[in-house]
Amino acid sequence: MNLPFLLTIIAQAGVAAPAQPLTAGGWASMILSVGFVTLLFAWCLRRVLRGDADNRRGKH
Amino acid sequence: MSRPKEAWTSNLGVIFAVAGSAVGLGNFLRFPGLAAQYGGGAFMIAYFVSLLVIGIPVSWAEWTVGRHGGHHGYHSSPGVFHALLRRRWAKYLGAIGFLIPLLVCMYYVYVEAWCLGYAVNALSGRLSAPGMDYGAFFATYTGANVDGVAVKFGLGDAGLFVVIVLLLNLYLLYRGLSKGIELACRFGMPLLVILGIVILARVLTLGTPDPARPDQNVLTALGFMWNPGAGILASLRNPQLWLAAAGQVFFSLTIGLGIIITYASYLRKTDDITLSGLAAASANEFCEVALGGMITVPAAFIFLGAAGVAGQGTFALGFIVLPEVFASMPAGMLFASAFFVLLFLAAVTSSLSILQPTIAFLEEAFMLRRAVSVAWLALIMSVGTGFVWYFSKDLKALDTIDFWIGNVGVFLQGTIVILLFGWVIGIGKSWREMHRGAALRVPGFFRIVMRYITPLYLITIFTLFLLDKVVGWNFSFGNPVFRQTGYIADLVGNAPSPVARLTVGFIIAVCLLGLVLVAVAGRRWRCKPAAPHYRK
Repeated sequence: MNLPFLLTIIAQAGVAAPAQPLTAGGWASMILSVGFVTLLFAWCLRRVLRGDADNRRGKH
Repeated sequence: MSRPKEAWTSNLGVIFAVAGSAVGLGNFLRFPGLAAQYGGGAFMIAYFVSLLVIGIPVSWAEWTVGRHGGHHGYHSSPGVFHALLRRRWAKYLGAIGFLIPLLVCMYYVYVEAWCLGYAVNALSGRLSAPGMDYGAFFATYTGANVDGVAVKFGLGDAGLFVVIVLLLNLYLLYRGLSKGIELACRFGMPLLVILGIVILARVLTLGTPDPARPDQNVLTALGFMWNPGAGILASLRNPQLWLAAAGQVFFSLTIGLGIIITYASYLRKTDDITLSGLAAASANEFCEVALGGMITVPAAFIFLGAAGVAGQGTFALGFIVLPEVFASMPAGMLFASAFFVLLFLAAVTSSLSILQPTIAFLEEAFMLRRAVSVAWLALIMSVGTGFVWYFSKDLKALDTIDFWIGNVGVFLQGTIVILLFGWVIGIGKSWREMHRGAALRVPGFFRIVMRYITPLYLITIFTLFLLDKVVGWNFSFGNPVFRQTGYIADLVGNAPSPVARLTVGFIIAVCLLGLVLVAVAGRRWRCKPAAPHYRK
């Protein structure tokens, strides 16, 4: 199966990292990244929902 | 024309729509591959810097420009540019924001059809059949081995799903903004997030599925994805890493496509855009980092190991590696179909947004009724998608349009919009316009970011992109090497690709036709209102 075309779609000349469990740096990287985007999303959603509720109350 | 004919029903509706537009295949397939390739820690630093400096500022600029143009009765990028700049050439500058999504949707709909087709094939058990050759299936299904082979209409072929997906998109567009796009995104986005969380829970509870390979477990898989690698500082000196991170942020948020301009143009004058813009961006980031970053690569690593994941492109990871992974896990058939439904939902909410700018342009340029504009779009899509669908060998037509339009074009459009915001309209006026009805006060330092840093950063990244992908520089001053890249070799190399050349000809023909339509539309727009004194 000739697949070089797939690699040209988005060039991702991947280099296999040595397989090791999550290091302290890995934990920090994962928790900070996932935590930041989750909190930001939750905060924005809360602000938007509160704003929509206020608007509805204002109309009534 | 001061009141838009169509409008969003609520802030949440437009946020779902913009987030739905942003969340696409790249969130679940491209981002995880890049993060793993460059080492989670260093990549995420560059990624978040790019998000703050490019992603969110350009997004706010597009929301502002779009809403302001909409206030003058325009919903397409050429119309909005015409209204705000009040120059004869302005509509042609804005034409980029109408032509890019028009060309992108021609191949995006085809990829969307793969997702639906894979979901159905997964549910029918075909994808988990013993001895399945996933690479061969993908090549035949998409037509990647021979031109025209995918033009078949059986359950195991792409054709049936191309037709279904086209009809679904056209139907939702026909229903209009609030009853079509907004409704689809209101249901589609929460369902997508729920499916993502269910699949994430499955992946994180896989443990060590093969006792013979104890190193292939969840913790090692997450380590493969998130461990920072040898040295963060050394990694951060690599321009390729910054290019990859900035490109991912740019493409992921669908900025530079003209979509946000069109969507924001349907807002009322005092509707909030600062919080809405940030909320849509954060929804996209949640799907990308928290779901995409935790599902795709870790799942593939657990079953196939590092060798099975490394070096895989977006399509290979999604349509060859992951089906094999799902087939290896308990109840994999269900999780595979759930995953491809998730991809399909992500794709359909994106394709609706990519198609809407063309509908908006046709309607405001030629005063067409919705049914007529949708019929014209159906004709255009049949030709465009048919072209990509037929010339499928090595996915050459798709790849060529993706590179020259999906990459180069969006960088251009993004740069134009941020320069329009910060320099042509002026940062003071733009800032006031952005904060009209704002539910969130943007910190003052973003004035400096949006005027100076974002354009500079964007131009730098665009230059790096051209040096890397077009000129083929190895980023070495000491021993510079310039190798001909595939995209250039396809056009002017020793063995050029006829399909790549034909595709570029097709792109040029569509652009010329688009410019003629914009010129015709410009004659009608002379009598319409425009923004007063927006040019200094």
